Amino acid sequence: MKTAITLLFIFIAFVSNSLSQSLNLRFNHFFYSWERADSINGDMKSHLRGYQNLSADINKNNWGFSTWMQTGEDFTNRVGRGFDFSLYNAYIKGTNLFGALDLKFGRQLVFAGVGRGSLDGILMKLKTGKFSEYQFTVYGGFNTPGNYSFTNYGSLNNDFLAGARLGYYGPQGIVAGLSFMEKRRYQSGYSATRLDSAFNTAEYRFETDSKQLTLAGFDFSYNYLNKLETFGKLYYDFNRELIYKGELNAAYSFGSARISASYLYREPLINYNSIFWTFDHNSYREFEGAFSYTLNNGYMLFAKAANVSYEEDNSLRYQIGFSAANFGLSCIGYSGFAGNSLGFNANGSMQLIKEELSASASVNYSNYRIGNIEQENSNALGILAGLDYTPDRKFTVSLQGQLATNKNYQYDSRVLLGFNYWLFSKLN
Amino acid sequence: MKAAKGYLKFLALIFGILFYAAYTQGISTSESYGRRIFAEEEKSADNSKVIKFNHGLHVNEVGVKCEDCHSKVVGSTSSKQNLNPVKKDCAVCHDMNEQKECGLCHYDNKYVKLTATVRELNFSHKLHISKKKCTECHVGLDKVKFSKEAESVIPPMENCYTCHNNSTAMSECSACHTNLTNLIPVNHRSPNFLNNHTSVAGVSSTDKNCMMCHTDNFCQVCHSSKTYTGKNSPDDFFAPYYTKDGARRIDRENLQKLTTSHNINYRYTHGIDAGQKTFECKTCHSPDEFCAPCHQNGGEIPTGVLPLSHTQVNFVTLGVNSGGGLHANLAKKDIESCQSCHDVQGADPACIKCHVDNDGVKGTNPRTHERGFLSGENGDWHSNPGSVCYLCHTDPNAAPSGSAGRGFCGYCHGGGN
Repeated sequence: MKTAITLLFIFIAFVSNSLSQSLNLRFNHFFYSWERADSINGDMKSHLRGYQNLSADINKNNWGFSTWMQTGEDFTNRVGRGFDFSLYNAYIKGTNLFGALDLKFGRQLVFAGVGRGSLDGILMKLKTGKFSEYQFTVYGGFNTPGNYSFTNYGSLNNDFLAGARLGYYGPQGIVAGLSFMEKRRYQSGYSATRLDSAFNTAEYRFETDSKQLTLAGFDFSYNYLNKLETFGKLYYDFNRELIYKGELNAAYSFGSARISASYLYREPLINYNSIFWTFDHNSYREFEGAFSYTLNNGYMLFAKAANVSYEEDNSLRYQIGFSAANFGLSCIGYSGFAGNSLGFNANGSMQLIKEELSASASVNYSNYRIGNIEQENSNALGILAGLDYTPDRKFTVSLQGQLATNKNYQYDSRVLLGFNYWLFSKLN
Repeated sequence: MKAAKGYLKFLALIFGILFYAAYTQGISTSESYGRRIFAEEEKSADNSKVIKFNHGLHVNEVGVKCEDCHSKVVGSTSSKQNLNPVKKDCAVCHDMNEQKECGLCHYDNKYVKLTATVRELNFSHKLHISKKKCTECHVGLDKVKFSKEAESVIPPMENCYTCHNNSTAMSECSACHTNLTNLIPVNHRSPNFLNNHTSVAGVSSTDKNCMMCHTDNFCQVCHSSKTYTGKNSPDDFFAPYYTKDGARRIDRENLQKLTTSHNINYRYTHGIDAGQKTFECKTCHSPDEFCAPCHQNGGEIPTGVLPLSHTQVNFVTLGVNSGGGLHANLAKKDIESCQSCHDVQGADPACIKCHVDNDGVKGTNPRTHERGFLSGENGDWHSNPGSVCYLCHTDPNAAPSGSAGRGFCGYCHGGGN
């Protein structure tokens, strides 16, 4: 893995120095420590870990290279992880090639209607029409391994994500798309002891198919002068031969007020090579209404409530609060099948010294119980407070303290110290 | 109850103070709120009550160039400068010694300096006017009296993205914005924005409106959860730290946060959101890879994570017509909850301990499927030995090559069962 990182750095250095027109690079180094005591016997543990993040964009004319990666290492009390490396994305991109084609090759995140996920492969988007209003996207490749390494790939026919989307981006505020996605991921076979037909125990070997999801979808949205906004989705699961999701949302703004309503029908989304879709189960339905009013000074007051229906049961959630550009407060409640909770969230940030020092803080509190069987409520409190010092816009030092207390930990305190460096340079 | 009342009073007090502050803060009479992206635009200076002026007249009928009056623009490298004309700029054409003429421009006894909008930006007019005409950004200013009447006195930020796209020019927020603490666009603060953000993006991740602030990395911070491959026990726990900087996410309390999209205590309360179906967890998390390492191993917390429902005496009931007990009821309502713990890649799901069909005889094993399940379907079990059916249906005839009339095949194909 360290070889792969070294090669990637060499590639970035070579490309940025010899071939590129512009380089945008952001590098962060964080020291992150925590100390906590559990709620049973007060056992205390402390730890220090370092993280480095690198994001880079290198461009020349219509071509570019983008990447975002992270490395981490324990400094004290190694907790089983040690050195860790995650390559979240790394792709070569071509933009507006021949005036009509976008291309991405490498590790990337795909959003294409019903298709979504991290892909190690290729994506092409063909744009046509007077305003490029017709866009056809096609993509395919390996599923990215869950730990963002370069190992654990299966064979391509058993470990892939592929799909397409035909989209219309109308100049009159209409957007619509038809999409398709197929995902396969190989699951390791396993052996298990079962009863045979004579009710004697026997060892069985199981190898399941890699077929996970085969979905098609229709999305649309319509925006009329920013007054009326609607969008909807209808997704179909080919493997289970049913509509897996239907959603309709509408919002209307009049003056400073906005009212919205949404309806959602959803089947549980379960991989086809999992037995869980074969069990007797039901769908979920949700109706949500929301209202907001923005005062002339920019403060937004809001309230929303949603009811989720299950088979012979329901849950309710609600939220009321307000938000401004740099602070907000809301009260959030849940009741019913999924659990009960009453809590609040407050957050704010401000400049202490203009253009140099800013502070941010938030408090989250919840009095809750999960599900409808627990009788006793628990409390969870989380507090964050931090400072960002920016002596130069290319360099920032961040310091943050985090404190959590809950039924599992008497306290869990964390300190973060970070150094952020950003560089943009026109090279040729 | 006493604590709850105290809590409600505390909340009411905070809301009261903040609502009062909201109402009493300065009310602006400028453009309607819907057109603005950021609240700071409310601070626009208005000189229409200070001086009588007509941009259109000066530009179109007199032939004055912008920089003739705004003489400081040419060399200006900072948005902190007041670039409005001063007396000597006007004096180039107007006779300042002729007192009878004062009323042409000045209201009675009003001789004050023109004010400028305070913007928290790094901006160099000097750099930009070498590449663009003034009216390319200040659209329509040459056709109106005062700037506030122009079609777009300050260009919408999408226009900046034409050049500030990380290729021609830098597009980091801090490249232009000097205060990153108040950059949440108004529409991002609507109560259901998180659920609706895909539609705001035009059902596409390439919308210019989004891309001018967010890179692909931004989407990935929330939408790419990392699978943990360890035990996630108290001595070996997963505490990722993703910086928002890499993703250019600059929203207030999330500026620096332990985890990606959830608060620091979320791992203890997420069961409520998961049960509520507030979000489709699978959009970001693959249950078989992401959930199991914690749920199967105690979830890093000393008390373990066995749900209380599993300890109820009626959680599993045995026998014909018993209905299976509480677990069957819960599974019907929320099968995703069962899956989050029991769907483990490469291991036998716990349910199969009971939900097996070893003998190919109906009625001898716990009921699993709804009535008429897959009846008449031509499913993959007819051709695929890796079909999920064969995890449970293990009688000797249960295979694509099985014979009609026997065991599993006999359920549909002429068997006596």
